[in-house]
Amino acid sequence: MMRRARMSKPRPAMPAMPAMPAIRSLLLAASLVLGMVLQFAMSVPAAAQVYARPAVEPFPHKRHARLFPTCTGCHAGATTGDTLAVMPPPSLCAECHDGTIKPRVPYAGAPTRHDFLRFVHKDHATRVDAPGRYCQTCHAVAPGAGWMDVRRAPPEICQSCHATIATGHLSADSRCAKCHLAAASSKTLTAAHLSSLPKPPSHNVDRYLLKHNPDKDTDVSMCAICHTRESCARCHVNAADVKAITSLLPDARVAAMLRGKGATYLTPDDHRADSWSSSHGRTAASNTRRCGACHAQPSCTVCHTGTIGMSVIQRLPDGLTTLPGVQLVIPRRVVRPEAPTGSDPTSGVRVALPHTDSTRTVVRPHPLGFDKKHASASGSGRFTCEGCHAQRFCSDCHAGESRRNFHGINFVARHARDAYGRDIECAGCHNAEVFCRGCHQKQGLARAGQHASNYHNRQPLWLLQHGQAARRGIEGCITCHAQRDCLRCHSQRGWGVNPHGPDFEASRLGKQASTMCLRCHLTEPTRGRS
Amino acid sequence: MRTWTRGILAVAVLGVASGHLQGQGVRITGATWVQSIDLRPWREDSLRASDLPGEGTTRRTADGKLVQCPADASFCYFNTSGVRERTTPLLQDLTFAAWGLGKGISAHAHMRARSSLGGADLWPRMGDRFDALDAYLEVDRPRARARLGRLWAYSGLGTYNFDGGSFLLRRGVQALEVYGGRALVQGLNDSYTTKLIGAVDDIPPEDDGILVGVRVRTRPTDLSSVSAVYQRIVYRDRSALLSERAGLDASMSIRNTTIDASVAYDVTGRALNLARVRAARLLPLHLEGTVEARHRRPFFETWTIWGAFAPVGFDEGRAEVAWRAPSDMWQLSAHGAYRVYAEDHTGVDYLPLRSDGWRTGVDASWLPSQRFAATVSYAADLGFGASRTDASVGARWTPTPRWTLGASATDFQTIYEFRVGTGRVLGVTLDGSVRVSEDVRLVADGTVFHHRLSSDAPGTDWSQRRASVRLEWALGGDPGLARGAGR
Repeated sequence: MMRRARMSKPRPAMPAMPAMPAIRSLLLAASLVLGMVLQFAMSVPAAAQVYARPAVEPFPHKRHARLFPTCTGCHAGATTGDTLAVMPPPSLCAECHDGTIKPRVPYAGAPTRHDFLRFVHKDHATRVDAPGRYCQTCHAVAPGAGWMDVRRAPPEICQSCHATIATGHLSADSRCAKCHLAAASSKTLTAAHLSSLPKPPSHNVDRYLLKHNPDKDTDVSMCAICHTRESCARCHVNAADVKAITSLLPDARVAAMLRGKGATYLTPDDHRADSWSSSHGRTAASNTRRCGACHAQPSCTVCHTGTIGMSVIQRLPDGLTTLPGVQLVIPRRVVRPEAPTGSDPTSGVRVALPHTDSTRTVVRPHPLGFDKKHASASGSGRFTCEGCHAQRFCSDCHAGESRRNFHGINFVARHARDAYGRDIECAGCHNAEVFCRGCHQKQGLARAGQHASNYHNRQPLWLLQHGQAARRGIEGCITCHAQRDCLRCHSQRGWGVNPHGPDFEASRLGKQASTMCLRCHLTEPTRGRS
Repeated sequence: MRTWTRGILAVAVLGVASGHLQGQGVRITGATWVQSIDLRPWREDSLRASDLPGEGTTRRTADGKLVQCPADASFCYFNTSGVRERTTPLLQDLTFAAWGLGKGISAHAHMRARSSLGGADLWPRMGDRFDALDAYLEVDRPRARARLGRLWAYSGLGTYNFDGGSFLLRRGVQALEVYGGRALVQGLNDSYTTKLIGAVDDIPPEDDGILVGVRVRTRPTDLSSVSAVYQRIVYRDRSALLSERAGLDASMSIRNTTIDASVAYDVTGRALNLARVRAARLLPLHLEGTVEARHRRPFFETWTIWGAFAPVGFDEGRAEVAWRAPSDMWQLSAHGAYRVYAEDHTGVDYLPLRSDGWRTGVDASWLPSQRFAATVSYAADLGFGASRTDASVGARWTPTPRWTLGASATDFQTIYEFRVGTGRVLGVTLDGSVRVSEDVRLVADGTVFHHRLSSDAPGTDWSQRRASVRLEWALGGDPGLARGAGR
């Protein structure tokens, strides 16, 4: 009967259009190109994506306005609850569009309705005064729109009645779960649908990944509308231990979609602080879960080789699985040209971490120039060196001839400046007698006899000046001169010239280091012992 | 069997033994470093005294060369450049670490062998064929750590190694460490009675030394730490002290300021060897400022006479300002320091030596990308007895993670001095490295120095060429998962 009712105003058949395949093809092609250009020029806003249904042209309701007196003629299921009858079958259209009365239309039936919404038409239809007549309450394109000037009901229509303070469909104050079901529970959504779900503007704030932290059930239920367990586990190393993540449902479609897609990590601001390398231990101990979001144990053990911090480190995932995680990498040492003030081009930047964010992050725990200034930091225990370094790391440099990890390539040619300035303690690693004097002697720079005077060149009265020079820079003297050179004059065996200063405490030193006295004195000056 | 051969064998045996002990891991790293150095060592020459004008013990030749003419000698002596000689020292480092031998038990060794591949024996310590820099067994537990073997003691007093043991006790943020054993000469890794000292000084120490030390440290807050150390070395027969020292190091951060302080005191000589405080602060406009005050006086052990020669120190103030562009592409820094030497109570009034000095410099770095870096620097020193200027420019290109190429040029000048070689030296260096595999890397460099003596300066032509090739390799895993990189 309904069909008859709809067919009660049959229209006369329209004359057949002359065939113009070539022109039509040209027009179609031009439209296609124009469409592509426009699509490229104007990216579709996120809100519009909500309503987009790919590959299905909306039914031109308005053109059929004079034909259909009711909505339920085609959409009977909207009031009966028969989900299969919500949309008309193709045969209904074909009653007119049979190629004779009207041209055929390519309608093959409505796509399967998504089970992503909690909305049930029947429940809402009962609230309509005249069933099938006032569907426009939700579907009208605008208030006061004409009969059958309709569209798919926008989410804001739902929000206008339902108790919510939301200011928009995707606004931060929206309560998604009011209308939507969890994506993972949907059987009709495809991977394409899932990937095209709109991104709420709240997710677009700067460094959102660092700020998202659902800790309440309500927050998690909102996440679950679009996200599944795999969405979080893509980055979170400790996904298996976080309740907010494990409470989400797993989903094979999302898993397939994310397969091969890399994780994204942003460096938190506190990690960039210069003091982070020395202060992160306490932070990690108090909130290890936060660390575990991005780091597995290998992140720590890349530096921590000893037992320092192990009790905290072992609370993190072991990293033995294929879980993601930030891979921290210690920069490899490379030979560098010597720069006189310690500028190290290979060190890059002074901050603890680079400003680029990536899964593989090169960490530079120590600031620039630390190799020359680490005495206090390591000596005081500010950095627990043994927590990260084996002892051989220290002996690499401190044990005499470094294998060029400390000094630059041409340092030997320029070492006089550093040695003379005492900016670094040469004696900390080199024995002046054996290393310095040994080299200077073999190269003829050191005094091996009484005739070599070139070192003190242009100083004809050097003898009168050498006392001052020696007291101020005696470390330089001994890189060439042996004790015997000085004892020729400054000893009881020699000319008896007193080398001691005015504050020299002979008696006390004699008690503690009598052997030193006997190098110059024939008898122990404080005891009279020879 | 040679000593160094025995050492290498010992490393191999340790490796094999650790395998039998079913250790969870063994790692052996090696670095083979061959250098080729052209030197023109000085040689002594002489002239007939009668051929030289003037009288006295110091005369000048017609070409400006200073010569020494001992009284009543018929010859005058001088030094000049010898013929070019090439030396090719080889340095071989081997490190060994085995762990997993039991809970917290590990074994470590660091060996170094030296040899010459030919040429003159001009490089230091080439006669010292083998060194065990460290070799120890460690038991490490959360509350305590014990080590036994050849060890290092690192503290604000410097680095000392010794044959003995150390025990570290940890209690929260506090730690106490005691250590002791047969002392080795600082910077030499050999006992006090080593023949190495005797080879360069005819009054070497008569006996070995015994070292004992204690170190405590605590961290009052997250960003502060204090450590104190006391250490003494006595002759084995306890007849006299070799050294007795105490040190204090502290470090703290307050907001954007980091303060470091160090004190080292020579108990034997009752002298303050080091008192230094440094504060670094982040400033607006991407600036970082550092100021430092330092008192320094050299320290000597009592087996030498130098400590009794009343060495004096200096007080120095230093400031540095660094600027870093927000993009990190540019880094600039400038520093300046002024020092004043203490009263030395010697010398003659009409021949005073300058008692203060300046040290200044500027640096700039350009880092347009992770692959390219360039630096330029200039420094000038003006101090007692010598002055020097130094300029350097360098660039480094890393086209791929495997390859690194670098070039640098140096120009420095030393003037009015009691240093060697008044004149200017220009040096150009090329270097490169290739990482053959994750655990094998080859590095090579070559440098040419050209020395131009000042017109009226006596001395030697120091021009020379240097080149080196280094092969670094590693076998096995690493307890830190970093595969030994940077460690």
